[in-house]
Amino acid sequence: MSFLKRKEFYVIILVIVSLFIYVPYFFKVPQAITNIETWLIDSSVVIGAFAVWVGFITSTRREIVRIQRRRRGWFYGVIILVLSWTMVIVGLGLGKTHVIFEFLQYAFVLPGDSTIYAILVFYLTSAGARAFRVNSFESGLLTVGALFVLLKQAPLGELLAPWVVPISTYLENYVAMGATRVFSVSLAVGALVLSIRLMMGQELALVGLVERVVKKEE
Amino acid sequence: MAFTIYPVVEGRLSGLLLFVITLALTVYYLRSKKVPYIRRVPAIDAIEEGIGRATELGKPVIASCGMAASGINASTVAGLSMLTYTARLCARNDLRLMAPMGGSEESYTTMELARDLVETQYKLEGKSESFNIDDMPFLSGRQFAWASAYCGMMLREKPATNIMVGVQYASAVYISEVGHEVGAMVISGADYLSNVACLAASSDYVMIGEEMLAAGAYLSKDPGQLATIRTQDLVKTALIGILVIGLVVLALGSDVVKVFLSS
Repeated sequence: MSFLKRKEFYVIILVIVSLFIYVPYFFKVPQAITNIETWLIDSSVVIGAFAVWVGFITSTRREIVRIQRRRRGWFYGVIILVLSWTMVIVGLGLGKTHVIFEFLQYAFVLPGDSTIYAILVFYLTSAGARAFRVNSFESGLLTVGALFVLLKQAPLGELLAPWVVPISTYLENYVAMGATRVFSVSLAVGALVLSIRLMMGQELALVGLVERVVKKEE
Repeated sequence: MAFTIYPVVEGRLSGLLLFVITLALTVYYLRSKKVPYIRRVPAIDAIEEGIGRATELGKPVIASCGMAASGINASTVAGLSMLTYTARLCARNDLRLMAPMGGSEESYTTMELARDLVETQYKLEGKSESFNIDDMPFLSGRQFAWASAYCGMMLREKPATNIMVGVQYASAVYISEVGHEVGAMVISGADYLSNVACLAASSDYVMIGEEMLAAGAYLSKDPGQLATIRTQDLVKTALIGILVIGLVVLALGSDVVKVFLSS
């Protein structure tokens, strides 16, 4: 199986798969090619579904080992196992719309999520306090801009200082929007070049995987 | 109104042209290996500094390739590249690397890939015994549960450096602020603009948009790959040119550029 050691083998697979995705996107092609494209996309969903189970089994195994060896925080491993398997058993056995599954979801999962989301406000404030320290002209400009936007968004801000509304709207609709568009365009171009580099077997993540296969073969 | 050319799908002609031009330029620069001037990207250079800091302090490094909320996309690939590079440096310095995985259901796929990449780097550096799969746990498929557990790991282990590159949402600020609290050097990169603004406030170094996507080429030090970064700049310049021409032409009463871009 010497071809498995060659990077070209993986690059060829990548190029073929990419062509089956790109060509039907840009060109009107026969139905057979569109079917292959659909099959490839569906396959990735199936692989993803298998990966969910692989991941779930791996984490279960990891927690069992942690509990067996009484590693630090092993008790949390017990809680993770009980809760995750309860969700799986209830979800698979009774369905996602069953009252017990919905109870678990609304009574435990969502409040936990909301709590953490709410904590973010405090972290944002502490990060903002550091960022808006005026120690240069640029940071001064940033702070003044932020104050205008803050006053517009804050409750009663508009009432206390109605003159900030047009300034803040201008900052949001023109200055910030311009920066957003530049960011989006550069990100899209960057993603395009990265995908081409990946397709040609040059990206570090892919090279890492190929190294793995070569190592295994040796 | 838009014009079409058979057999190109309607509305995708300008996209196809952009793709073909970018592909041709990338291939040309990859082959020519003419290294252009590339400005330093402080956030990427800081990774080495962060690893050096961890070595000096004798503390672990914590790294994440993001949440992979929509599967393996460009940002996740960039995150994986960065994780690979971090793992290589950690293995070289015999450092412990913690990489908590999770954040979305799709992260299960990334987890297997990331574990493979990190383990390979440790093996290639001849330090396979230093790799511990328990340091790459799958914490949760939910964003905030993952972020809380990630922060818990940081509070317990007190890493010297926290590198978080890839798809990040609201939880990114939470993680970077806790990193700051435990005294870790925080290096981050995200593709979501509102997040970049928050991360700029809470991180020591931040990769902005395309810097993160070009990181793989930047770190490879390979002349061919470095040259591909020039493609990004050329395409961007061309797009700015089209934008300016479009504005001028539109002001003169013609919508030819608008029609071309809609085609």
